Amino acid sequence: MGQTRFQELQSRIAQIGLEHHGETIIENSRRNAQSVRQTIRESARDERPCLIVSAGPSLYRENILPRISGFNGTIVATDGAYIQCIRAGITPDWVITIDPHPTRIVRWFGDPHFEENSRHDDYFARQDLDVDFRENSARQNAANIEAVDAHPCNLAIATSAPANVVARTSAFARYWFAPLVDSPVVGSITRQICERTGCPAINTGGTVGTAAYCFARHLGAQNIAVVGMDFGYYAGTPLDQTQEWNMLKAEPDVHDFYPVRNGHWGAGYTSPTYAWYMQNFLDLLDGERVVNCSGGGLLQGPGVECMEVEEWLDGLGN
Amino acid sequence: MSLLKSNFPTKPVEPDAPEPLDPKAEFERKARESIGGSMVFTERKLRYWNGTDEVSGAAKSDSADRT
Repeated sequence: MGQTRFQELQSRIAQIGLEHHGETIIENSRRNAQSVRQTIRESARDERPCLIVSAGPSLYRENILPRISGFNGTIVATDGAYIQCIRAGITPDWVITIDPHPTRIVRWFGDPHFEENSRHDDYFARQDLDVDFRENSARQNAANIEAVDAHPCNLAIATSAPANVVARTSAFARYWFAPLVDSPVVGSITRQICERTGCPAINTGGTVGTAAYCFARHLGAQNIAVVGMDFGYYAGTPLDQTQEWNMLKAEPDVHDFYPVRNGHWGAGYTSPTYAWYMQNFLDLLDGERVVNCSGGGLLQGPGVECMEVEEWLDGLGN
Repeated sequence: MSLLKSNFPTKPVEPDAPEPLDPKAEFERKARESIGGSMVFTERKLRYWNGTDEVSGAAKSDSADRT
């Protein structure tokens, strides 16, 4: 029964997302159209090897960032990994953000309304994140604001972004794109957004790490590696630190929603959400080669080659 | 024969019980509140669309879009 419910929920996530976000991304895109000055069409082609830095638990657990300090290719960081990069002395070439959530995403850039937006929201406390984000402290948020203000960079920003992220990133060199959320036929959400904003569209696969991969391909990168892209939880992660916990905790067979999987670096467990994200990523990858240097997590499949980040860097001559 | 009329005390009518929650709807409501970082996603082939071309149904394109 559990496996059936697992598959059932996984199959419904797309529809849940559509119902939940469909109106919001159209509304945000309508508002953001007036802020579009340039789009990712104007981004310079960059064929250098590209490292995508996502904010999965392996990023801090495997101490990845200090290990890539010698890399001189292109770094595309997800919004959730941006501040971790800055703290490690790395200013990414690009940061990418897609999520329309009205109060959470701005935290990744330092939230000027931290106390108001974090009240009654345990989202960050429930993540297996770098401890500074989990502790939810106003002092750390103030330090993040300062760090981000000192290191603005190129920002690939989806038209779905909420107003506070748009306001917060006004000093960045912003390149806009539409989230390619459905087949862009006449009447589709994607086509509506593109027509209204004048932006091209990039597929997100449902999550910002996958959007980063699609964006790196758009830049022209052929040799792409990913770190911090886990698509799962470490074996010892308490279930109440998973994204789905509030939804699943009343289920009598709750463990069946978190099946154990073997990853390249050991066993962990997945969830309906992460299993869905990973399948989307593999579908969009469609067998093309990507190197997974996360050092943990569950990402593997056709086209995915797993190795330590040092091995990938050595192969580049770094 | 006369029709019988009730002459016994009746139980007071209880107000309608609240509608039971639809477990499926409730589950999805919790899902929406719980799952962060998720976006709408239904297109599984096209990785980039330049915003103007007609859709051919062809698979992903990365280089052609930059022409």
